[in-house]
Amino acid sequence: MKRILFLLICFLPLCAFSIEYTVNTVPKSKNAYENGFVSNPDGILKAETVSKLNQYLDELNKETTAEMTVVALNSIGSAEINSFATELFKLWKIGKAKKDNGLLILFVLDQRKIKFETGYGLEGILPDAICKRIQKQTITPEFKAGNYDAGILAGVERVGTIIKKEPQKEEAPKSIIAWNEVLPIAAAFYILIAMIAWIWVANSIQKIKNDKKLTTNIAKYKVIKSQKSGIITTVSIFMPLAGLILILLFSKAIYILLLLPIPLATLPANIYAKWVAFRIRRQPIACNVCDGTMHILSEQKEDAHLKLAQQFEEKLHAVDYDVFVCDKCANEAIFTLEKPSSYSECPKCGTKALILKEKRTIVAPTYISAGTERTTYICKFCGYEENDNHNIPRITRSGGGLIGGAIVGGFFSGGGGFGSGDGGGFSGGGDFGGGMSGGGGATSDW
Amino acid sequence: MKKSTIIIFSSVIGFIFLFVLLPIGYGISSYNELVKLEETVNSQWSNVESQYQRRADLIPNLVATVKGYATHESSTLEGVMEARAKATQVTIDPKNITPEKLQQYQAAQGQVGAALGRLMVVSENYPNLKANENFMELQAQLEGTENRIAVERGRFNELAKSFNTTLRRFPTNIVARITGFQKKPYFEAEKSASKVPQVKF
Repeated sequence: MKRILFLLICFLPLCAFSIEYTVNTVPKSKNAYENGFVSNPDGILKAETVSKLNQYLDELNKETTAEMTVVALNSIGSAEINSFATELFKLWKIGKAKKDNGLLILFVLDQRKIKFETGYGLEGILPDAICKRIQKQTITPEFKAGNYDAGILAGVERVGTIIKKEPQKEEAPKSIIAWNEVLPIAAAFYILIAMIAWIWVANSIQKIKNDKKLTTNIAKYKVIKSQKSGIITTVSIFMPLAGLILILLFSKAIYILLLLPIPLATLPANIYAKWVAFRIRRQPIACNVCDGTMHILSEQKEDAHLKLAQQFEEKLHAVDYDVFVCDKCANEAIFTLEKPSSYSECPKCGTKALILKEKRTIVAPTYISAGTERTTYICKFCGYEENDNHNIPRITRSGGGLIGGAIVGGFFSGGGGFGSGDGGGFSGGGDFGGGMSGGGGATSDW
Repeated sequence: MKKSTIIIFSSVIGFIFLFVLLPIGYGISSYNELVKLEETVNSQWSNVESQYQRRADLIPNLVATVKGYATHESSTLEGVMEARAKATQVTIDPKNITPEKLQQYQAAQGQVGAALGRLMVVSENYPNLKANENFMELQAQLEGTENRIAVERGRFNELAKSFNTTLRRFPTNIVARITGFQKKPYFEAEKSASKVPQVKF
């Protein structure tokens, strides 16, 4: 056992020395620990140097957001150092996304080459000539003497000083959507929708006006009202739906916001239809007794022609009565318009004034047995009361709440995947920011 | 409405949806996909061009510097300037980039690369030139630019490949044939172009 251990210790450095790294096998400097900026798998640099570098580069990153990383390798085989560096840069995504302010310092001992790979964003302050100058003046003289620690420390510091001198640019505003182009188009669509709704409504009103089957004003009024609401609902549901499908298929999801005002575009048609309906309801009609015409009475005057119960119903807003009086023969006609309300007809007096007074649970339902509920209706006109007993079904344990919870949960947990899109987080994920390089930098031999 | 009319009506709508709206929608979205990919290829082409331009911009400076030291190399220097002048005349509109045009472009740029390579070999003979600070920095820039050209060309090829793959895939190829999209050519690793001028110190 001891002998094996001894052999192992003897061969370990040899094994380590013979590793030829490829872009994919280089240990990522970020993986060592969260704020690691140095990849030193072969132990070329002393631990002390590595911690100094990490500290310096971490400070540099916090101060300028630039991401500089040092990779020291014994061998990359026969690979070409320039393309190796570009590939490694691309793989690790060094530098902040969009800013592309990454710098990779790679040196390979067996090729005796050092390469600075600058991200697009640093090419301005670190042109190739400057990189080369730093390599030739500061790094390679030390490397020639075998002082890798001193060389790299001095070089990194010199590069860091240059980066720190550069004032930090403010990040560009994020909004890329040209609202000034989109909004006029959207406005044109709103106008189009408003016109469609208007034409449709006007067309159907015209038909109703000329409809011989609808003899009374109230009948026409009712049909116009229901037709209008049908058309408005159709337009304000189907137009946004069609828009939604189109947007999801071909465009950015943010444009869904533009669908929200579509129901508003139907407003003119709505108001027009209401106005026409109101006019039709009040237009004079021919008298069915003499050859005179009948005119509608105002709300105040008509009370004289209505029964007490009818007046009461009008007060409750349960029924609307229109009273027409002939100007020649004093013939009168009363038209009834049932209004949507919570009142129903009282079985005793026939007035539409019966309303739910209370709902009381007499026996509460359980998981085992059904319960009983008593509802009490009262007529506000004659005071008649009506009681009804209903069964309340047994309570069942449903999964509804659970499914709802799962859907909501799914939505929220789904959001987690997007977070890394900007690539900004350095401290959290232990990763580089997503920068790009274009082969900039310089290479030197020693 | 009768039940049978409802069935007929809904099957007509279903038919229209399946055989008219769906293909049209698919066609539009794959057309848009092609447009997007072509746009990335085009913008990458301008990256390639700007790197070649960067090299072309370095040449006058480099030639002027070399001229001061290497007085007997006028033919080499003229060769570089001539190749540069020829290369700047060959431009490509990325919208209709064809294999022939790309080959022409690459050949012209290859001439520049070869002439620069000869210049660098010649300059080895002049120790004063080699020690000149300005020359060293120009050399570093030239080297970096050659590297950038290689990187951007590689990226152009990658993007062109992904465009071509999408273009040739069924059923996008039908849409492409109708709308007239063309396959993008690739940069080929040329003997003269792949040789980066080696600068030893």
